[in-house]
Amino acid sequence: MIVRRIELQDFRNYTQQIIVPEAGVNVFYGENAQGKTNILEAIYLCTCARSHRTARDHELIRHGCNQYRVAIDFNYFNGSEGAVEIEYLEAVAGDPQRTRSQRIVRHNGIKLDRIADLMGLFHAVIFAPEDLQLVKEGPAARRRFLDLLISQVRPSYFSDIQQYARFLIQRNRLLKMMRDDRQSGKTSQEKQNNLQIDVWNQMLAEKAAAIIEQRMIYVQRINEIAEQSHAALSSGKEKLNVKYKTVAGIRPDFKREEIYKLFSNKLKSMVNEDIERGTTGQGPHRDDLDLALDGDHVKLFASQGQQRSATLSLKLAELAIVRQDTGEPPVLLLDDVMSELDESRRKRLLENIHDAQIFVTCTDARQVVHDMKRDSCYSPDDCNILRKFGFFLVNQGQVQSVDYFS
Amino acid sequence: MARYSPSIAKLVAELGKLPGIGGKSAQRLAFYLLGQPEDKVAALAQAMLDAKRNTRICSQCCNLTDQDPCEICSSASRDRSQICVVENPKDVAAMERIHEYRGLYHVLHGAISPMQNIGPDQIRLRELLARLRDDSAISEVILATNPTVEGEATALYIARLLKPAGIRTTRIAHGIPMGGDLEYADEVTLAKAMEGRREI
Repeated sequence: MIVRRIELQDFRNYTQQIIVPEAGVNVFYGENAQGKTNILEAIYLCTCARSHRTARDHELIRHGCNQYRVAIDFNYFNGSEGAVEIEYLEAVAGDPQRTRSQRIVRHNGIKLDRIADLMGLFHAVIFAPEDLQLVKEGPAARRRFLDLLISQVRPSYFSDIQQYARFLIQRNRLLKMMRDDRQSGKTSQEKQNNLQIDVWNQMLAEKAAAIIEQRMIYVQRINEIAEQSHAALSSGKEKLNVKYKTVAGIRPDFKREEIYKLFSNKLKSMVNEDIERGTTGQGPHRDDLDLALDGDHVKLFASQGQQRSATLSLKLAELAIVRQDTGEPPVLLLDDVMSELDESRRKRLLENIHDAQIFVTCTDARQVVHDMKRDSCYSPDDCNILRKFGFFLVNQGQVQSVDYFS
Repeated sequence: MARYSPSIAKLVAELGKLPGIGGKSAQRLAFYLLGQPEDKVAALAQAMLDAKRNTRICSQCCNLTDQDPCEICSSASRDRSQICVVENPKDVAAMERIHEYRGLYHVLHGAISPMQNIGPDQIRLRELLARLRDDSAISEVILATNPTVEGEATALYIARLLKPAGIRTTRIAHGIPMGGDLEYADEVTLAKAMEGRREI
């Protein structure tokens, strides 16, 4: 996948910017806080309409404005073209046309009805300092990683998660009503509520089974790839193991039907606890990825360096899976990772990305040129167009194409 | 609205309360109405009042009607062994447009949704159960609630409720619209269509 043109309007610190990248390696360099990462963020936004840095669209709008727009034109490797556009219009007090904030997503100029339809159109994988949250933070960060990865390659998965979330809200709401009834000794609704909770159990369990089945399949694949890459990073000394932690009793080889049976029985047997708590205690919304190094928990026992290697291995697995499932390398976004990674990790990363279009940010372009040129694939003499370098100086929300080698 | 005289301001404000009508549209409609001859405006006002006053809920199927029982419930040519359960009166109109279905209807006026505080008692489910109890001619209940989260839950709830009574309960199929391209169908619809495939 190759990005041909990027357009930013009132996005972060950019007023209006058009960037025409090279098919090979695009280096965005400049001082700190000039807007380098914002460019990568904008490209990533086009994969799933979500920033890798924030969940709030408001933060993406340029200071003093009330809307932003990001548009990219790209080519698939088979030559066909595509265009994705994300626009966010914030609610404006007093304007009847803008009573509610809305996000508008367009594909080839046509407005998409749902964000879900954006999934699978444009693929990018980002390597950023925030990735470390994968091992350092709570389960939510890892579920998000899994969900975004699977959604990119299996768009129907994204609708499954959305629907699951809705079933969950409905069921939790009913649980709270039942709790209130119990506390106040009201029994008139009991029979009705019991029948209704059965209905929500069944619907929730059907979606949960679909989600858990897919997650187990993908975690299995992530594990295989991440294990290999971590072994290479640690010269074969360490073994990284990635496991999906879900409802007790569900085995990795379970098919959807078996998961459904087990989970719906679990929901039924846990219903009294759930009513007391007023929420659903188990299910895909509580699951986690277990990361272990030689059997020890990465979050608790691994050193900083080991955590970085584990993170890199997970991201490399994401890259490999997107590449396998879509049949072509996704666009690669490297946000300041060159300075964060040591020599061996940089090398490992570069080995994996030699055929993709790359966007990389750094403060010093020399380092990147040095790293990438050393890898023979990036020889400037290589006539393959993919290997062409582009250099862009980023300065206070302005991007300027620079002929770096001359 | 201070610029307008009180009666115009009032009209704009009332029109602005209608669904899908914002401030600008309300003003446009108000001035359109002011520009019309008085009898036209009176006819519109009368039509709104008539619709409101004459429309009531059919004691059998709970559809909106001018006469009770409604035209469909009192028709001699309908098949009295089938009841098609829908969420809204608009759904009855949609079903009737196909001219295929000859049975009766039941309108729930909503779907079960705990987050909106709508339970089985807040929709016209009790009326449906009473009908099924009192009328032994009914042999099939067709659940045609919307294929939304709440519509599905409502269908499932009714199905469970009716199971002990032994009445045949069916759910309408979901799938690809006729004359449409597979390419443009969304994933959920396609997945449902695959699930509901059958031999030909």
